[in-house]
Amino acid sequence: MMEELLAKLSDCIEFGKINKVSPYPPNMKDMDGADEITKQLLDGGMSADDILQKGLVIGMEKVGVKFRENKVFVPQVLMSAKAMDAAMAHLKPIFAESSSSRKGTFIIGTVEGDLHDIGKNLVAMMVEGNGYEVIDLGVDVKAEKFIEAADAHPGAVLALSALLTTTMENMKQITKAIKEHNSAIQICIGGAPITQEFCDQIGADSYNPDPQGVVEFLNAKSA
Amino acid sequence: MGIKKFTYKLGELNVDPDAICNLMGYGEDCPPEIKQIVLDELDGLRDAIGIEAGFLFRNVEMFEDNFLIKIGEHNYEVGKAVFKLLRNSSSVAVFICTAGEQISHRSKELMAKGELLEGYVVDLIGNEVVERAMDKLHIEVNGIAKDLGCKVTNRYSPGYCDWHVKEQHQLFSYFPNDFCGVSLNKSALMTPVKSLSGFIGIGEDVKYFDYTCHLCQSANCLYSNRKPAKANVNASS
Repeated sequence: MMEELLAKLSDCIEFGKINKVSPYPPNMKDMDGADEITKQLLDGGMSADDILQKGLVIGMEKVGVKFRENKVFVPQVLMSAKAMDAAMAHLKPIFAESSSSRKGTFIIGTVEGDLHDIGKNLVAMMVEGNGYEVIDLGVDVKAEKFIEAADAHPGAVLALSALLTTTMENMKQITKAIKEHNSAIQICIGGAPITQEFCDQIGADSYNPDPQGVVEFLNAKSA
Repeated sequence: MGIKKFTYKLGELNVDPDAICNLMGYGEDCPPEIKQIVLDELDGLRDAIGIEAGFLFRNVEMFEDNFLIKIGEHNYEVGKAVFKLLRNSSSVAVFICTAGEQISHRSKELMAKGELLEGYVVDLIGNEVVERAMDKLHIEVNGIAKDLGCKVTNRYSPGYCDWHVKEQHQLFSYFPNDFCGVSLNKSALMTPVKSLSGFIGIGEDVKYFDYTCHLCQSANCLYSNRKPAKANVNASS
């Protein structure tokens, strides 16, 4: 019974079914969504950790892979993220009070001089949906703010986003400042103009062209 | 000729909901729920203010050896691809166009409320609005060019192919501060974000192409799915 519910929860995340009244997707109309099923699993005695890792993360991973393969588009990912939020609303208070641990901490921001945030938000949602604590520093983030956040969360991975060729230069300077402050801090970079070659040039640790790639980098580190 | 400036209403721009679905990646298979969000948000923005555009003409000298376009003291290193597309221009219409702050604000407001899909849709509406406003401006430029016995090219912007986005700083210097409500930060990012600036080439022997996406190598461009011939500058406004 619980296994069946977990599989249903995973489907809700994969297909973006938020709650019972949510009309999307049409083929799941009037069915329980991530909101109700998460509550049923908790009421049935399942731990928040198990719900996250065996239900939510599985669904989110499927979305990430489909997005990478162009089988779904941004709207479906956003609906999945919203379903994830509905489930996490039940789990977050438990994580805050118990010793349940997330897979790690991920600090993300769009670099100084750049105000674009949709790509950054997509990565943040996907990473959170895969079981990490995400700290979103927002847009137009200076090196000092990244460093301050990294110091406050030892072991966290930093992620820098940029959409403009001009702000790639800022990304380079911020990466340099972070590495000079503490060379052990791991830095992921991404954004439309970014390439692996640029990542190698500036001494960042990981470049990924899609959110699932970031998840895979984090999973490899935390394994 | 001095600066010409225009203000548009969203309703007169013929923004096509299907084009916005297309920007999201959908063809005719856009789920009706998502199409409805597009229609609802377009309806909510029908009285949006701040959709403005303007242009001025400047004579140019073109130097093929280094793909350089000179306007007075300013050098524009537009790169090989853009240079070829602007080839034979004797002047350019330098333009700035914006979808306005209201659309960007609505997108951010929705995102902040957790209405992620709706916020994303409005963000794309901003892209489409600024392109359709540019279509109107393009038609104006074409009309003036015709009167001068000239033709026009497509429109090209810093950031396109190898034309560095930082050259927007000298492009903006031809206009008053905050022209059309658009400002430029140190990184050459325009605010409101849904804004465009660039050149339309003008000359007796320039070419307008129905489709130029094949010339660009960007792997992440929203418009790469788009079908050819989105604008006809010869249409009447």
